[in-house]
Amino acid sequence: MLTGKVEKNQFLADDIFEMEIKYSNLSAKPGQFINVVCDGKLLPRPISVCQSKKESFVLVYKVVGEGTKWLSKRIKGSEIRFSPPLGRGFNLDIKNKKIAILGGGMGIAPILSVAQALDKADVFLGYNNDEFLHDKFPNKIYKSFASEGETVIDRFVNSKVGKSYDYVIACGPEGMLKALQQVCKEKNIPGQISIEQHMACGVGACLVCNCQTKHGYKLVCSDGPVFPIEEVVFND
Amino acid sequence: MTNLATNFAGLKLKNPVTVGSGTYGFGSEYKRFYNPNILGAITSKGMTLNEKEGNPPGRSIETPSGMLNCVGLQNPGVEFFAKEHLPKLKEDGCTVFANVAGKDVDEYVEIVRFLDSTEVDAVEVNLSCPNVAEGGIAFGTDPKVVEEVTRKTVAVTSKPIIIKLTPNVADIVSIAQAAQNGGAHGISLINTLLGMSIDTKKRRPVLSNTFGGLSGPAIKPVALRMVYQVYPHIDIPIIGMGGIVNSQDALEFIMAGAQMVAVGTGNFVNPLACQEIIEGLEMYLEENDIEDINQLVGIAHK
Repeated sequence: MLTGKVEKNQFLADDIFEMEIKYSNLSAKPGQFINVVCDGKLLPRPISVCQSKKESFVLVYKVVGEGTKWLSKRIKGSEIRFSPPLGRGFNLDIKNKKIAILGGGMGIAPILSVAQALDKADVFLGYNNDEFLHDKFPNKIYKSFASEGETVIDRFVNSKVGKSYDYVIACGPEGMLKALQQVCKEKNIPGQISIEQHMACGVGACLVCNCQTKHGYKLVCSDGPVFPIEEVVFND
Repeated sequence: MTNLATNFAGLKLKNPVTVGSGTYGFGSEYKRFYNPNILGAITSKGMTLNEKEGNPPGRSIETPSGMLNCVGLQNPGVEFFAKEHLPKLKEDGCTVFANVAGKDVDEYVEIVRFLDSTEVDAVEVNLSCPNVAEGGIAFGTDPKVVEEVTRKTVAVTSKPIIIKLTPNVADIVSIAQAAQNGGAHGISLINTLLGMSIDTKKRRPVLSNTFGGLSGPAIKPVALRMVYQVYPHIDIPIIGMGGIVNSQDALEFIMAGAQMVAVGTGNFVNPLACQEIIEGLEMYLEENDIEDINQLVGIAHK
């Protein structure tokens, strides 16, 4: 396991925190995650890398249980133990396409580095209430707020420009991804989505984080977490 | 100079550390952390005769000091293993224990017969998986069936047969003795304990299979008790497992009577767990002026 020191750990919005960890050259590809050791919890927590810089990297996470609660209380200088970057990230060799990037809730964190790499793509951000990370995107941004009755998919579908995209990249809750898959199927738009599942090993050994695909079960940790949008089979 | 080498069922192993079946894939997954050939043996993911898809998503959940899983023996089938994974493991210099499960006695026999012609070093017969509808746990709870499966699998191979037992029984000693009576060369103690978890928001069981196997430090006292309980009553060696995450845990199992130890969920907690346990055992011997790890096997009984 690797060790880094907390440089910054601040509240962003809706139980969501941003932690910057000093560590040189983590070199996470957009969409990859790391397994973070949380004291008092048995299994490490898989958290996607929001930004990977030369001397540090950034995690944006939501407090959902004891592990992430512990993480939220780390102060500057605290040691954090973590795995090297795991999983397959997004394939960004798609620069000649008209791309829409969609992030919903915590799904906004993994797509930031994608959007920074594809700065000509348009970005649709779906928040529950308060916005976060929006000021880090170099792209044209369209925001929606569930508290105001509009989902990120509504915004994408209803947007005038929404009709002209020929590729999507997305991360967010299952309902959002399922709805997007339907839209893409109707419009025949290909793309990539990053999905979530309870994990244990994070390296493809334990087989607990399976998801249903058109080609049988695949592992979210090692075959994913990024999959072609048309490949994932969501439950009804 | 200390000695970690051990003799298990006639196999000379560089140390007494292996992995719990299903926690280490087929060896390549942990290569990014260390070379798996440092282990005394690698125990493969549980395999069936034909490819098995396993259970739908909703396969795991963390519990206090442990985790539940219901993978349901997802595996590519024993033939695929022999063709694709085994040669790589042997090329890396690993000793390989192949863990197998069948849906009935005939299938157990057929898998073991097939593996006899391969380079696997031993076969661990899983009579205890809690996550499959047929076979598995049902086989491991009846001493007569345990003895029968053991006798029939031993008869079709020259490889050592290790019988992996379920803890979900009233009298583990009689089950272990049944394996010995059937001719087993060793036994593995223990597989997971049957458990469940309920999602209070959805008001439904968390696991797609409703029940799953509980593993991790939560089950260590139970596993240790069973190894200690069985050790005086059998003459074949025991692989102790259940909640081992560090060398202290491993030493407890060895002192209770385990000739070898297997690290399962511990690999998920810390991917370097096996390597650190091997180093920790060596350090314990040095610090306590003990020449040979085998001197500690069952020492807690004396």
